Amino acid sequence: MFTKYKNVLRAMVLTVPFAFLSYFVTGVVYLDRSDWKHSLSVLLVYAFINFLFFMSMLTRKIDHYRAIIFILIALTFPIEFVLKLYELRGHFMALNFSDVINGNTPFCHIVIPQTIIPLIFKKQIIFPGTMDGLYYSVGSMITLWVAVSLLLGKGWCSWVCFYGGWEDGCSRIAKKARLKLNPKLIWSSVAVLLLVIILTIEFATPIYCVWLCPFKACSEFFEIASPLIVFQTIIFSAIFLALVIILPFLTKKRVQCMTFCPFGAFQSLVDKVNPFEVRIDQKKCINCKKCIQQCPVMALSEKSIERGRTLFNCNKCGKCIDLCPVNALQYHIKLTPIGGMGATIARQVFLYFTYIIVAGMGSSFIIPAIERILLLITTGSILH
Amino acid sequence: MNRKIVSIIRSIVGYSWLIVFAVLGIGLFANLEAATQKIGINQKVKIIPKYTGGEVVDKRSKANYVRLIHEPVDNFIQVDWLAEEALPKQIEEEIDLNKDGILDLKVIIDTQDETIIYEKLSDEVTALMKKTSLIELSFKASTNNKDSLFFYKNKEYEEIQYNEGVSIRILKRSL
Repeated sequence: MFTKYKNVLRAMVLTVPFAFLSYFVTGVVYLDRSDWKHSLSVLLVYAFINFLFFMSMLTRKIDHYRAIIFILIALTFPIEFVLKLYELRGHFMALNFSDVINGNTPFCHIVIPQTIIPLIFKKQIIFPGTMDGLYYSVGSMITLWVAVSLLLGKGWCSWVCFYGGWEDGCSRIAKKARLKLNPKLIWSSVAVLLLVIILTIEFATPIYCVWLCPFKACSEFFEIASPLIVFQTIIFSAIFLALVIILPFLTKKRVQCMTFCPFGAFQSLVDKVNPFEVRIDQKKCINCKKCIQQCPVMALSEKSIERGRTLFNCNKCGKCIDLCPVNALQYHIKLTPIGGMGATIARQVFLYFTYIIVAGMGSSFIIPAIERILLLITTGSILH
Repeated sequence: MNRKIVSIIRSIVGYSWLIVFAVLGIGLFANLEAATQKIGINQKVKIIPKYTGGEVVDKRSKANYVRLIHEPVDNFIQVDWLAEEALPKQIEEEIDLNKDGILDLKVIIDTQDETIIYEKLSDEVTALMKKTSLIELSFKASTNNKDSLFFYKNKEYEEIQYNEGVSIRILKRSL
């Protein structure tokens, strides 16, 4: 009984700083009482995210609560994105040539690896976006990417990516995997990355966006005005169905992220300079291999466990940390000793960073989506 | 003893690394727009001309608007008509696209009805892009509606914010 109260108290104490910070990040501090729909949406999201954080602290589970908000962000992103673009451009998801040449195309993080070389050497962005002023401008997205990479590294892929929740959700539906994937497939995303970088530079066109990106299915895509675009539409729709819905359902793995996403492969490189990683305490590990079997991106192998490390594609989701029966896996600050107080500090600091960013992302997508639903209920229109 | 000292030094470096990244990362995240301006991303980095048109090589000021002719990019030349307040109902101009002293193109644009009549005046203009006419597409995207105004409002040329604009793209024969 005393232990239970002690745990609740501990969780509350840990949640207080987060509640304070998220008060600003979610926008509670700027509430306009005259706009009850916005105020209610903000308060709901504030309460919900703090509840998830509290529960994560109380139960000492990471992945379960992470997945709830991650999936929710993925589901609410299309609502806000599509409707906002309609208000800005006058049409829904179909991007037309006018939008392209007028720079009316919102910039997405997946473009970054495709255009990184021209960006560094020629200070040019190969994307028909706008540097500032636009919803999802190039400038603000690049700054966001730098900020999150400094704090989380490849944790972007499990905590921030507003597309990844689709796969995460689909991979959790079935109780058992019906199909097994070859672990070597994790290298195919690197091949996709190299291919799109080369082709983007060669053709001065964001090749992945134009030809391959499956998430056009939940954001925007080219207006079908020619046979070529019909072909492109078939390709991205097929990739979305296969890699984002069907294969994650069958394999219980995040197939698109693991095998196809060039941003994920690129972020694995960026992760080298991030101070956080997941490590295995060799003194504790009993070699049960639960982590290898359950990792959603196959970032663990017997050899990597022998080295006390994950593979390059670990996205710090925390599932292996939750699963390990002896707490051998843990978040770790690079160069510091493994285990002990350092592991506790690393875990807490990492989770504060992730949840603050999640609170920010939640503000961008979940709050407006709730507002629009309230608007629909009260006025019959989902548009502002 | 040495191992302990090395371990302590590594820990100091590790935690220092974390603190520096935390300060930078949180600072950037908390002030995204301001940080973007301060870093100067928007001034230092540009969208490739294939999408925006080339650098402006000719600017003519008229009574209440300016006409900008861009450098050829790929195989097109972009021409903009931009006004700080509102464009006139009709714009009629003959344009020398490549500054060789010979007029290349005549346009009569009705900015309110969104129609354009064009006439080739020289061999330099070998074709006018057809795809539901690129000219018409550019035109429609730039006319006086809230969406287009939003973007043109952010379009600066010599630090002037334009309120309304139309653009056309002309396919040019490559030399």
